[in-house]
Amino acid sequence: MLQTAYVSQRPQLVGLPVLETERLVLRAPQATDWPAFRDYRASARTAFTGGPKNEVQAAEQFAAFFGHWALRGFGRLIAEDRVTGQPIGHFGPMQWADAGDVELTWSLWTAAAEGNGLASEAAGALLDWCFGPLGLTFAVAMVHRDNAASHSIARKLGGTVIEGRVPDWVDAGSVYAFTGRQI
Amino acid sequence: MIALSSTPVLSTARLTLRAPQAADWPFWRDFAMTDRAVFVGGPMTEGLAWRAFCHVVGMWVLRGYGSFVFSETGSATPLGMAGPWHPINWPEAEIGWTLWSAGAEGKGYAHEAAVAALDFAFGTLGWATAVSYIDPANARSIALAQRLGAVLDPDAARVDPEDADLVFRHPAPGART
Repeated sequence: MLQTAYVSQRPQLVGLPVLETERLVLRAPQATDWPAFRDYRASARTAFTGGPKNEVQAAEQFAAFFGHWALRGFGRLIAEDRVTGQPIGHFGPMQWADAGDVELTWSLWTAAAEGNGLASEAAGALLDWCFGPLGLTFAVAMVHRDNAASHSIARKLGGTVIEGRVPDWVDAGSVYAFTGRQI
Repeated sequence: MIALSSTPVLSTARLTLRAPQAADWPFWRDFAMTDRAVFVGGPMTEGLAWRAFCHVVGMWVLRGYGSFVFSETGSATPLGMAGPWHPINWPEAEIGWTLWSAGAEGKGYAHEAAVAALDFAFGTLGWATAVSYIDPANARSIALAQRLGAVLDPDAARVDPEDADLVFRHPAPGART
Protein backbone atom coordinates (compact mmCIF):
# COMPACT_ATOMS: atom_id res chain seq x y z
CA MET A 1 0.00 0.00 0.00
CA LEU A 2 2.75 2.41 0.91
CA GLN A 3 5.23 3.66 -1.60
CA THR A 4 7.97 5.96 -0.54
CA ALA A 5 10.03 8.30 -2.59
CA TYR A 6 12.33 8.85 0.32
CA VAL A 7 15.73 10.28 -0.27
CA SER A 8 18.06 8.89 2.34
CA GLN A 9 19.62 12.33 2.64
CA ARG A 10 18.59 14.21 5.74
CA PRO A 11 16.05 16.99 5.18
CA GLN A 12 17.70 20.37 5.25
CA LEU A 13 17.08 24.00 4.53
CA VAL A 14 18.80 25.10 1.36
CA GLY A 15 19.31 28.45 -0.30
CA LEU A 16 19.92 30.53 2.82
CA PRO A 17 22.33 33.42 2.46
CA VAL A 18 25.67 33.70 4.21
CA LEU A 19 26.56 37.24 5.24
CA GLU A 20 30.17 38.04 5.97
CA THR A 21 31.50 40.89 8.05
CA GLU A 22 34.96 41.69 9.30
CA ARG A 23 34.65 39.59 12.43
CA LEU A 24 31.50 37.52 11.90
CA VAL A 25 29.82 35.08 9.57
CA LEU A 26 26.02 35.15 9.62
CA ARG A 27 24.82 31.77 8.44
CA ALA A 28 21.86 29.40 8.59
CA PRO A 29 20.82 28.14 12.01
CA GLN A 30 21.97 24.59 12.66
CA ALA A 31 21.20 21.96 15.27
CA THR A 32 24.54 22.46 16.98
CA ASP A 33 23.49 26.04 17.91
CA TRP A 34 20.88 24.65 20.29
CA PRO A 35 22.87 24.52 23.58
CA ALA A 36 24.06 28.11 23.17
CA PHE A 37 20.58 29.33 22.27
CA ARG A 38 18.99 27.37 25.15
CA ASP A 39 21.43 28.88 27.63
CA TYR A 40 20.75 32.38 26.28
CA ARG A 41 16.99 31.86 26.39
CA ALA A 42 17.20 30.68 30.02
CA SER A 43 19.32 33.64 31.07
CA ALA A 44 18.46 37.05 32.46
CA ARG A 45 19.74 38.50 29.18
CA THR A 46 16.24 37.94 27.80
CA ALA A 47 14.71 40.49 30.17
CA PHE A 48 14.04 42.83 27.23
CA THR A 49 12.85 40.16 24.82
CA GLY A 50 10.06 38.37 26.63
CA GLY A 51 11.93 37.05 29.65
CA PRO A 52 13.60 33.75 30.42
CA LYS A 53 12.03 30.68 28.83
CA ASN A 54 12.26 27.10 30.00
CA GLU A 55 13.83 24.43 27.84
CA VAL A 56 10.56 23.38 26.22
CA GLN A 57 9.63 26.92 25.22
CA ALA A 58 13.15 27.59 24.04
CA ALA A 59 13.17 24.42 21.95
CA GLU A 60 9.92 25.38 20.25
CA GLN A 61 11.29 28.83 19.49
CA PHE A 62 14.53 27.34 18.19
CA ALA A 63 12.72 24.89 15.92
CA ALA A 64 10.55 27.77 14.71
CA PHE A 65 13.69 29.55 13.46
CA PHE A 66 14.01 26.81 10.82
CA GLY A 67 10.32 26.67 10.00
CA HIS A 68 10.11 30.41 9.53
CA TRP A 69 12.73 30.24 6.79
CA ALA A 70 10.90 27.51 4.94
CA LEU A 71 7.51 29.22 5.21
CA ARG A 72 8.36 32.89 4.59
CA GLY A 73 11.62 32.65 2.68
CA PHE A 74 13.46 34.69 5.29
CA GLY A 75 14.28 34.37 8.95
CA ARG A 76 16.98 34.47 11.57
CA LEU A 77 20.64 33.91 10.82
CA ILE A 78 23.17 32.89 13.44
CA ALA A 79 26.23 35.07 13.87
CA GLU A 80 29.36 33.02 14.29
CA ASP A 81 32.63 34.43 15.57
CA ARG A 82 35.22 33.96 12.83
CA VAL A 83 38.01 33.32 15.33
CA THR A 84 36.35 30.92 17.76
CA GLY A 85 33.71 29.45 15.47
CA GLN A 86 31.21 29.92 18.29
CA PRO A 87 27.65 31.15 17.69
CA ILE A 88 27.22 34.47 19.48
CA GLY A 89 23.70 35.55 18.61
CA HIS A 90 20.82 35.63 16.15
CA PHE A 91 20.02 38.35 13.65
CA GLY A 92 17.23 38.39 11.16
CA PRO A 93 13.84 39.50 9.94
CA MET A 94 10.73 37.74 11.15
CA GLN A 95 7.04 38.11 10.41
CA TRP A 96 4.46 36.43 12.60
CA ALA A 97 1.26 37.70 11.03
CA ASP A 98 0.53 37.68 7.30
CA ALA A 99 -0.74 41.24 7.52
CA GLY A 100 1.91 42.34 10.01
CA ASP A 101 5.18 44.16 9.56
CA VAL A 102 8.48 42.44 9.05
CA GLU A 103 10.38 42.85 12.29
CA LEU A 104 14.16 43.08 12.42
CA THR A 105 15.62 41.26 15.39
CA TRP A 106 19.08 41.19 16.89
CA SER A 107 20.24 39.42 20.02
CA LEU A 108 23.66 38.67 21.44
CA TRP A 109 23.51 35.47 23.44
CA THR A 110 26.21 36.18 26.01
CA ALA A 111 27.51 39.16 27.95
CA ALA A 112 31.01 38.25 26.77
CA ALA A 113 30.03 39.16 23.21
CA GLU A 114 28.97 42.65 24.22
CA GLY A 115 30.81 45.92 24.12
CA ASN A 116 32.85 45.31 20.99
CA GLY A 117 30.41 46.55 18.39
CA LEU A 118 29.65 43.01 17.22
CA ALA A 119 25.89 43.51 17.37
CA SER A 120 26.10 46.68 15.26
CA GLU A 121 28.39 44.93 12.80
CA ALA A 122 25.98 42.02 12.40
CA ALA A 123 22.89 44.20 12.32
CA GLY A 124 24.45 46.35 9.60
CA ALA A 125 25.02 43.28 7.43
CA LEU A 126 21.48 42.21 8.20
CA LEU A 127 20.07 45.52 7.05
CA ASP A 128 22.13 45.42 3.85
CA TRP A 129 20.71 42.02 3.07
CA CYS A 130 17.12 42.89 3.97
CA PHE A 131 16.98 46.05 1.87
CA GLY A 132 19.23 44.60 -0.82
CA PRO A 133 18.86 41.00 -1.98
CA LEU A 134 15.75 40.26 0.08
CA GLY A 135 13.98 43.28 -1.37
CA LEU A 136 12.27 44.67 1.71
CA THR A 137 11.11 48.28 1.51
CA PHE A 138 9.90 48.61 5.10
CA ALA A 139 10.63 46.92 8.41
CA VAL A 140 10.32 47.69 12.08
CA ALA A 141 12.30 46.93 15.21
CA MET A 142 10.68 46.72 18.63
CA VAL A 143 12.82 47.77 21.56
CA HIS A 144 12.05 47.70 25.26
CA ARG A 145 12.35 51.09 26.94
CA ASP A 146 15.30 50.07 29.10
CA ASN A 147 17.27 48.25 26.43
CA ALA A 148 19.79 51.02 25.85
CA ALA A 149 22.16 48.95 23.74
CA SER A 150 19.39 48.02 21.36
CA HIS A 151 18.12 51.61 21.05
CA SER A 152 21.64 52.58 20.14
CA ILE A 153 21.81 49.99 17.36
CA ALA A 154 18.41 50.99 16.01
CA ARG A 155 19.46 54.63 15.78
CA LYS A 156 22.86 53.79 14.33
CA LEU A 157 21.14 51.81 11.58
CA GLY A 158 18.96 54.77 10.66
CA GLY A 159 15.76 53.70 12.36
CA THR A 160 13.24 56.40 13.19
CA VAL A 161 10.82 56.10 16.09
CA ILE A 162 7.19 55.64 15.09
CA GLU A 163 5.37 58.02 17.41
CA GLY A 164 2.56 56.49 19.45
CA ARG A 165 3.40 52.88 18.65
CA VAL A 166 4.67 50.43 21.26
CA PRO A 167 6.11 46.92 20.92
CA ASP A 168 3.53 44.15 20.58
CA TRP A 169 4.74 42.52 23.78
CA VAL A 170 5.35 45.46 26.14
CA ASP A 171 3.82 48.88 26.65
CA ALA A 172 7.09 50.51 27.64
CA GLY A 173 9.20 50.76 24.55
CA SER A 174 9.61 52.09 21.04
CA VAL A 175 9.01 50.83 17.55
CA TYR A 176 11.53 51.96 14.96
CA ALA A 177 10.84 52.18 11.25
CA PHE A 178 13.42 51.28 8.64
CA THR A 179 13.11 52.05 4.96
CA GLY A 180 16.59 51.24 3.78
CA ARG A 181 20.23 51.18 4.67
CA GLN A 182 21.03 54.61 6.07
CA ILE A 183 24.73 54.41 6.81
CA MET B 1 15.28 29.53 -3.70
CA ILE B 2 14.93 28.82 -0.03
CA ALA B 3 13.42 25.42 0.56
CA LEU B 4 13.24 22.42 2.81
CA SER B 5 14.93 19.82 0.65
CA SER B 6 15.17 16.04 0.62
CA THR B 7 11.87 15.39 2.32
CA PRO B 8 9.99 12.19 1.55
CA VAL B 9 6.63 11.89 -0.19
CA LEU B 10 4.29 9.04 0.73
CA SER B 11 1.41 7.78 -1.37
CA THR B 12 -1.60 5.79 -0.26
CA ALA B 13 -4.67 4.65 -2.17
CA ARG B 14 -6.22 8.12 -1.99
CA LEU B 15 -3.72 10.42 -0.32
CA THR B 16 -0.38 12.09 -0.85
CA LEU B 17 1.64 12.88 2.28
CA ARG B 18 4.49 15.39 2.09
CA ALA B 19 6.39 17.86 4.27
CA PRO B 20 4.50 21.06 5.15
CA GLN B 21 4.89 24.03 2.85
CA ALA B 22 3.97 27.71 2.86
CA ALA B 23 0.68 27.19 1.02
CA ASP B 24 -0.53 24.99 3.90
CA TRP B 25 -0.31 27.81 6.41
CA PRO B 26 -3.80 29.34 5.91
CA PHE B 27 -5.37 25.90 6.30
CA TRP B 28 -3.43 25.14 9.47
CA ARG B 29 -4.20 28.62 10.79
CA ASP B 30 -7.93 28.22 10.20
CA PHE B 31 -7.79 24.90 12.04
CA ALA B 32 -5.55 26.03 14.91
CA MET B 33 -7.61 29.13 15.69
CA THR B 34 -10.83 27.12 16.19
CA ASP B 35 -12.19 24.71 18.77
CA ARG B 36 -11.23 21.86 16.47
CA ALA B 37 -7.68 22.37 17.76
CA VAL B 38 -8.64 22.05 21.42
CA PHE B 39 -6.73 18.77 21.79
CA VAL B 40 -3.52 20.15 20.32
CA GLY B 41 -3.23 23.30 22.40
CA GLY B 42 -5.88 25.41 20.66
CA PRO B 43 -7.73 27.48 19.94
CA MET B 44 -4.61 29.58 19.35
CA THR B 45 -4.07 33.22 18.49
CA GLU B 46 -2.75 33.78 14.98
CA GLY B 47 0.71 34.43 16.39
CA LEU B 48 0.79 31.19 18.36
CA ALA B 49 -0.64 29.28 15.42
CA TRP B 50 2.18 30.68 13.31
CA ARG B 51 4.88 29.70 15.77
CA ALA B 52 3.36 26.25 16.18
CA PHE B 53 3.43 25.71 12.41
CA CYS B 54 7.02 26.98 12.24
CA HIS B 55 7.80 24.47 15.00
CA VAL B 56 6.28 21.65 12.96
CA VAL B 57 8.40 22.56 9.95
CA GLY B 58 11.52 23.04 12.06
CA MET B 59 11.29 19.54 13.46
CA TRP B 60 11.89 18.22 9.95
CA VAL B 61 15.32 19.85 10.04
CA LEU B 62 16.18 19.07 13.64
CA ARG B 63 14.98 15.45 13.84
CA GLY B 64 15.35 14.56 10.20
CA TYR B 65 11.67 13.66 10.01
CA GLY B 66 8.41 15.29 10.94
CA SER B 67 4.72 15.52 10.51
CA PHE B 68 3.34 15.10 6.98
CA VAL B 69 0.60 17.26 5.52
CA PHE B 70 -1.80 15.14 3.50
CA SER B 71 -4.26 15.87 0.75
CA GLU B 72 -6.23 13.86 -1.76
CA THR B 73 -3.79 12.95 -4.52
CA GLY B 74 -4.06 15.63 -7.18
CA SER B 75 -5.77 18.12 -4.89
CA ALA B 76 -4.11 21.27 -3.59
CA THR B 77 -6.28 21.37 -0.47
CA PRO B 78 -4.50 20.02 2.60
CA LEU B 79 -6.81 17.98 4.80
CA GLY B 80 -4.67 17.48 7.87
CA MET B 81 -1.40 16.28 9.23
CA ALA B 82 -0.08 12.88 10.31
CA GLY B 83 3.36 11.68 11.14
CA PRO B 84 6.20 11.05 13.51
CA TRP B 85 6.57 13.76 16.12
CA HIS B 86 9.17 14.03 18.85
CA PRO B 87 9.57 17.46 20.43
CA ILE B 88 12.16 17.81 23.15
CA ASN B 89 9.84 17.16 26.11
CA TRP B 90 8.07 14.06 24.74
CA PRO B 91 9.16 11.00 26.75
CA GLU B 92 9.26 9.03 23.50
CA ALA B 93 8.46 9.40 19.84
CA GLU B 94 4.84 9.75 18.84
CA ILE B 95 2.65 9.22 15.80
CA GLY B 96 0.26 12.16 15.75
CA TRP B 97 -2.60 13.19 13.50
CA THR B 98 -4.99 16.09 13.00
CA LEU B 99 -7.87 16.63 10.58
CA TRP B 100 -8.20 20.31 9.79
CA SER B 101 -11.85 20.59 8.81
CA ALA B 102 -15.12 18.89 9.66
CA GLY B 103 -15.61 18.26 5.95
CA ALA B 104 -12.63 15.89 5.93
CA GLU B 105 -14.09 13.72 8.67
CA GLY B 106 -15.89 10.43 8.32
CA LYS B 107 -14.03 9.28 5.20
CA GLY B 108 -11.24 7.30 6.78
CA TYR B 109 -8.61 9.82 5.72
CA ALA B 110 -7.03 10.14 9.15
CA HIS B 111 -6.78 6.36 9.37
CA GLU B 112 -5.25 6.08 5.92
CA ALA B 113 -2.72 8.82 6.67
CA ALA B 114 -1.88 7.38 10.10
CA VAL B 115 -1.21 3.95 8.58
CA ALA B 116 1.19 5.54 6.11
CA ALA B 117 2.87 7.45 8.94
CA LEU B 118 3.25 4.29 11.01
CA ASP B 119 4.68 2.35 8.08
CA PHE B 120 7.13 5.20 7.48
CA ALA B 121 8.19 5.37 11.13
CA PHE B 122 8.60 1.62 11.65
CA GLY B 123 9.92 0.97 8.15
CA THR B 124 11.96 3.85 6.78
CA LEU B 125 12.92 5.34 10.13
CA GLY B 126 13.38 1.97 11.76
CA TRP B 127 11.49 2.74 14.94
CA ALA B 128 11.03 -0.16 17.35
CA THR B 129 7.93 1.31 18.95
CA ALA B 130 5.64 4.33 18.81
CA VAL B 131 2.96 5.87 20.99
CA SER B 132 0.15 8.36 20.58
CA TYR B 133 -0.64 10.78 23.40
CA ILE B 134 -4.39 11.43 23.41
CA ASP B 135 -6.65 13.55 25.59
CA PRO B 136 -9.21 11.31 27.31
CA ALA B 137 -12.00 13.54 25.96
CA ASN B 138 -10.85 13.10 22.36
CA ALA B 139 -13.17 10.22 21.52
CA ARG B 140 -12.52 10.28 17.75
CA SER B 141 -8.78 10.07 18.22
CA ILE B 142 -9.11 7.27 20.74
CA ALA B 143 -11.29 5.37 18.28
CA LEU B 144 -8.69 5.83 15.55
CA ALA B 145 -5.85 4.66 17.81
CA GLN B 146 -7.83 1.54 18.64
CA ARG B 147 -8.65 0.95 14.97
CA LEU B 148 -4.93 1.11 14.29
CA GLY B 149 -4.44 -1.66 16.84
CA ALA B 150 -2.86 0.57 19.47
CA VAL B 151 -3.50 -0.37 23.08
CA LEU B 152 -3.41 1.68 26.26
CA ASP B 153 -0.05 1.55 27.96
CA PRO B 154 -0.74 2.53 31.56
CA ASP B 155 2.94 2.32 32.49
CA ALA B 156 4.19 4.67 29.81
CA ALA B 157 5.38 8.12 30.84
CA ARG B 158 3.10 11.02 29.97
CA VAL B 159 4.26 14.29 28.50
CA ASP B 160 3.15 16.01 31.66
CA PRO B 161 2.72 13.72 34.68
CA GLU B 162 0.12 16.16 36.01
CA ASP B 163 -2.25 15.81 33.10
CA ALA B 164 -4.53 12.94 32.19
CA ASP B 165 -3.37 12.18 28.64
CA LEU B 166 -3.78 8.56 27.61
CA VAL B 167 -0.78 6.82 26.08
CA PHE B 168 -1.63 4.37 23.30
CA ARG B 169 1.14 2.10 22.08
CA HIS B 170 1.16 1.01 18.46
CA PRO B 171 1.94 -2.50 17.33
CA ALA B 172 4.69 -2.91 14.74
CA PRO B 173 3.17 -2.86 11.24
CA GLY B 174 3.53 -6.63 10.78
CA ALA B 175 1.44 -7.17 13.89
CA ARG B 176 -1.30 -4.76 12.82
CA THR B 177 -4.48 -6.31 11.52
